[in-house]
Amino acid sequence: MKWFKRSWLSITRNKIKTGILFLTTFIIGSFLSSTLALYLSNEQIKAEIKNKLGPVATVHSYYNFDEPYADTYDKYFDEYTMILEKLAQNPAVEYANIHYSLTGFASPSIYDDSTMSYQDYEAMNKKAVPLICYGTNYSMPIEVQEYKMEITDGRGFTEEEINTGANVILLPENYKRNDNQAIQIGDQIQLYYKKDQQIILEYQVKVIGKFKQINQLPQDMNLSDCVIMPNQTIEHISLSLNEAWLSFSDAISHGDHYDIPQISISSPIIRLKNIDYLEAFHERATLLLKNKNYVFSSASDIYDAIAGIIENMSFMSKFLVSSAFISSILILSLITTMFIRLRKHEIGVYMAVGEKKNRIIFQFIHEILFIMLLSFNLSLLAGKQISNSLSEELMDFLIDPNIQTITQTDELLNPEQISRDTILNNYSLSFDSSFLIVYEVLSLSVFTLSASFPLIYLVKSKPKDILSE
Amino acid sequence: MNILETKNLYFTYPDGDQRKIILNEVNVSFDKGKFYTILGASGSGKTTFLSLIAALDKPERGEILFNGEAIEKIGYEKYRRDDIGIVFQSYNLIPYMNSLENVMVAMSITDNEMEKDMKAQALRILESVGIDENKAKRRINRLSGGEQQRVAIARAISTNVDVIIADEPTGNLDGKTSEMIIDIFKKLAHEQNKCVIMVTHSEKIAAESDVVLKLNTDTQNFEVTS
Ligand SMILES: Nc1ncnc2c1ncn2[C@@H]1O[C@H](COP(=O)(O)OP(=O)(O)OP(=O)(O)O)[C@@H](O)[C@H]1O
Ligand SMILES: [Mg+2]
Repeated sequence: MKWFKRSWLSITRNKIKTGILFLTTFIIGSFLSSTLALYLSNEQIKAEIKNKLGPVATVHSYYNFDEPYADTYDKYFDEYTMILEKLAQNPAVEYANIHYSLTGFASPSIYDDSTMSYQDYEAMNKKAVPLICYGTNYSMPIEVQEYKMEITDGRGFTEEEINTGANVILLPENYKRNDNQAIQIGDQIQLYYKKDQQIILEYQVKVIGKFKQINQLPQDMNLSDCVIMPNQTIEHISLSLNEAWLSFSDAISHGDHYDIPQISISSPIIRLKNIDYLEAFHERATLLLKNKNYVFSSASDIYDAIAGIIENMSFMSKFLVSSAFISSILILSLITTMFIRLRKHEIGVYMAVGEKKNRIIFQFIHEILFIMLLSFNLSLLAGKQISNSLSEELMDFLIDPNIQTITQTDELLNPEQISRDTILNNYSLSFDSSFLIVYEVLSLSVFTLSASFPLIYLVKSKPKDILSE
Repeated sequence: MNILETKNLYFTYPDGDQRKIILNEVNVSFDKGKFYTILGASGSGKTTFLSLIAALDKPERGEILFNGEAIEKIGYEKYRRDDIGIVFQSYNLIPYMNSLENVMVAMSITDNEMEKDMKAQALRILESVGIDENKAKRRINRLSGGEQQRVAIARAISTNVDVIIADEPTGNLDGKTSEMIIDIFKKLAHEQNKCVIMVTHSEKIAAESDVVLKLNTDTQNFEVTS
């Protein structure tokens, strides 16, 4: 009769002992699996929210402009771009998508509806199309890389064009020449800025490509009336405009260039390479931005505003699962010690007939392992029920109906507007394979810790001592 | 050559601050084919001696030789597995197994050659000590004390060992049952050429043995009478 068969006989014939061990393990296992499911699910939900928000950050400016406006405006712009560039240099940064923009321009030679003739169009609108000069700091705009827009004709920018600020643009594809001809790649078009019916500045740019917006952009940004060009180009245009305006306003004795559009920075987005870098980046950036005119904010802020309840649940479930783990080791150690002590004589008998110690250990480990693991695994079913009601209880406990929840968060960083309510509405416990693996590991370690010590102690003692007790 | 022999066996137990000598340089030897009994006052050290020659405990000094080889060299575990059989006063059977299974536990553990049909062999051995097939398949706790002790003897001899060591095997049994057990031991020694070493409190039983070893509490050594 091999040790394996002995252990099987013991399991099937010592019904009361088997039953006690099974039931205790079952109860403990239900507690362990339900708290573990709760804990892991919360961790998973936390990770999902963080992933959905993404490792993104931005800097908002709240600059107070003093008189003379022109000087402070330049100072503000330099400061803001410097801050953004500094942050962009951090090795954790994947990209810093910075758009300069300049409004108020129009083009006399093109119109924006390819479905009708210019004559019909003019009859309806009678006005030149206003255009926004929209900048990019990437030769292939991030929006293209992220499938927000696509270049339907021509090409993107070259590095050189980006760096030098060449006079090249991408034009929305639905534009057409006023003479009803299609716009060709390589065509020059005219942009002008007009004030009080006076043309202040004319600017020639070359069309190098056409694009189409294909997906929603943050803050519902609409590219259909934008011409996209290198940020540097916008800086050049803005400079030329300011100069032209100065000489023009001198002539008619206007004040400073308060009255004309100024270059601005819209929706800068800094994306990190990895979500794990966000906390550290957030801390460093906040330190860097002591200047009260600029506020750094990241997906962490959004997360903090909407995921508080999940954080609390996660904290409590962590506490619950660790206490379940510790108490299960304590209780099962007691039970297995009892279980083995009751069979001290049996162990003595095996020793007396010269059985090898490792086989004695195998037999007992097999017995306990079989009963415990069977019970632990069956307790998963109960654990599933318990964790459901446990999570409901916890939620009821944690949600304070008197506290108003934050519903509005930074649209730039949270374009989908994920809120606490969307999180709670989608809250669900998961019993996936990672849960199963962790649970098996946990229950195996409960088994190992609770069963091996009494067993090893016993087998280490002298056969005479065991037999004479 | 003696099958079993002790050389200057010395053993003490802690007794308060001092150590109490239990076995003081004991030199005794045992042969096959003989029935030995060990007598001595309660607490004199009989059980201690048996646990040493049964390799359940280790002597402080001295040696135990089996067929001239030190059992320490053979290995205590292997020596117990292949060379001796032990019978206890309290039977020490495994309660959730029947008699047959109890015997087969020992048979499957030993390295000694067993018959191919181990079960038939076990049944025959049980039969030889008076346990029929019906009783052989009964749970241990449904057997009388005398029957349980027969099963324990069957287990001890089932592995084809030459030495049987028994500590007061009749201590819990009535006179008539005791006699039957003693009879089995005698036959084992005389008919099957085993060396049987048995501790007893009964002078009457001792009188039936071939050699009596009396543990003297003054010297903590044996006086041997044949
Ligand atoms: N583990 C121990 N620690 C200390 N002293 C012990 C221990 N085991 C036995 N003794 C002592 O050693 C002495 C011998 O004990 P042992 O059991 O060998 O006696 P025994 O002759 O078998 O007695 P009995 O006839 O009552 O069975 C006794 O005085 C006992 O109290
Ligand atoms: Mg004794």
